[in-house]
Amino acid sequence: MKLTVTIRNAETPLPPDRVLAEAAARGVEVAVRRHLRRKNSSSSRREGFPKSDYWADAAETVSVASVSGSHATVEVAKEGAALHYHGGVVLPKKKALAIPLDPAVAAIWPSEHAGYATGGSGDDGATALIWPKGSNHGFIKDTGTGDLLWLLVPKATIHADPSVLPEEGEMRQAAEDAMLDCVEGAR
Amino acid sequence: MTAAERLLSKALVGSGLDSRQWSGIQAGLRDRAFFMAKVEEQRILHAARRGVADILESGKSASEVRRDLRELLKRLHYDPGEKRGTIQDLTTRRRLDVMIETNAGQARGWAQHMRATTEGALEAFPAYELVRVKQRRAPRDWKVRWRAAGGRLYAGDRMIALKTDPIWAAISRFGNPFPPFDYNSGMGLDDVGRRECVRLGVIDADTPPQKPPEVHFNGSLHAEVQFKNDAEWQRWKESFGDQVAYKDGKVVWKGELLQGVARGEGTVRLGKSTSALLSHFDGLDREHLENTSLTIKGEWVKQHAGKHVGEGETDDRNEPLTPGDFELIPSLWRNPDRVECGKYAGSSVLELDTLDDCVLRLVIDHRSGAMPLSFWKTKSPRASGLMASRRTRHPSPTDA
Repeated sequence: MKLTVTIRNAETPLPPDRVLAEAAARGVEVAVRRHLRRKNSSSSRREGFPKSDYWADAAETVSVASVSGSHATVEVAKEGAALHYHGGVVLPKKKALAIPLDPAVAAIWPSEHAGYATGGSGDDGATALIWPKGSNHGFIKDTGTGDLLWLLVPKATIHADPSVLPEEGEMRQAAEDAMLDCVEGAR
Repeated sequence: MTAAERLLSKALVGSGLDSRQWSGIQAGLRDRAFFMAKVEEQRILHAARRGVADILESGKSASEVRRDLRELLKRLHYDPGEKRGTIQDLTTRRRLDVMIETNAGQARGWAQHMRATTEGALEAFPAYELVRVKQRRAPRDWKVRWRAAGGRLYAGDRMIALKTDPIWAAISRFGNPFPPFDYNSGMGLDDVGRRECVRLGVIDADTPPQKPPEVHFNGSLHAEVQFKNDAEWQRWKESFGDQVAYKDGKVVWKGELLQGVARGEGTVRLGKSTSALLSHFDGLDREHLENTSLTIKGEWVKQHAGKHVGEGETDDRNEPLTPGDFELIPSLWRNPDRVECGKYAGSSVLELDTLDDCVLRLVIDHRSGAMPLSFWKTKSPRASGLMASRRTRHPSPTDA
């Protein structure tokens, strides 16, 4: 699911001039991209783990999806961005969600790790599943070193985070500024 | 065109060239190729291109793509030998991540550049600023590269230039006017508004808006590549063999021509039968095939193979063909995994296993000059896929 921002004037539609509408949409796209880059810079790194740069990657997926006479749409195509904004429950594709516990497996899925050593274990990535009876969570451990690599949970709740997008006033200002810039250029 | 479509439109080009040698290939030609340094096997390129496209269009994770590619390499009995564990080892995370990030980044960069250079975007935001978007442990000194390429600094140290300025391609290791500008650089672009450009002195108040590049009309970023002389053409032939072609006064990849054929346009000659193909045949059949070339025509695709493309495929046992699958026909012709007898006398089925547990099948009439009869993609259980690397010798008439 993509996170989308629709730009339209409440009283009157966007200017019928296609070039001005493109400029307004671009202004919002630029504002959202800058906002996500700032969010990435200020986001804290999980202790001991490499920085994921999730929001920087999300910034690179911001685009103007459509511009029409009445409105324009800007979208953030990064997987999970809409979930972070709206909040929700993440369910596993298979049996459980795997949350890395060891920096060595950051951004690595258990299915990638299986049979392939990430380095250090000396055991070709051999792992074992531990799921205590009656428990609502389990673990995957490296059978060579005994280290716990992933925590397994049946679901995860993501709380809504409106700060994924800039405030509405900021986006409106960005659209207006871009249209003014466009008018300056046409003079 | 989306970033994924742009990536999938690139021709698969296998070669023994390393990244430095690839840098020496004209940007116009290089930009239309999907390649990996020192990778000649088309199936690896085909799977890598599909994997990166999946990341771009369906949010597949890099971890899943790495897993799938390693599985393919294992099935192809890939052995890095003494390069094991180095950047030249295709199974290492570092090598796969460089391939994924560079190709996904270039496709996204291209799509962003297209959106940044529409008429409205250019009028409101005439310039780009080179900015750091990801931190690096040992960042390169981009100001040095910027100045060396003739760039000006504004407001002290801001690297700003018009979007149509040649400096953007000049600072790029890949010759593109959009990010990524180098492997793992962490640098990106930010738009600079017109009034800020005037205030900083990038443009004057009466500077007219730039014109959108012609790319919007023909979908290609670079001017058509023409070879300068025979010596240059020979160098390309030495590096790329039959994968490069000369058509209507310009240099093109055969992969591009095959994508055209998949749409029912043009003709591609795939060269003479190889010893690897002939090893599947004996006797008269072998004689018929020796010194025979395979030619694929768009007209043939329309009439025969076309019914297996996309929604045209109605047989549940088959997987619909994609335009990219047509780019594996040269591999089928040059080095099939197996060759089976066809239904009709004189016909043979050339088979090639693919990453997605399917088998590409090309039927040729080998007694009438390797005429293609049909082409489709069959679903195949993994057990009968690449793990079984048997080669079925085609029975000769004398065997009977």
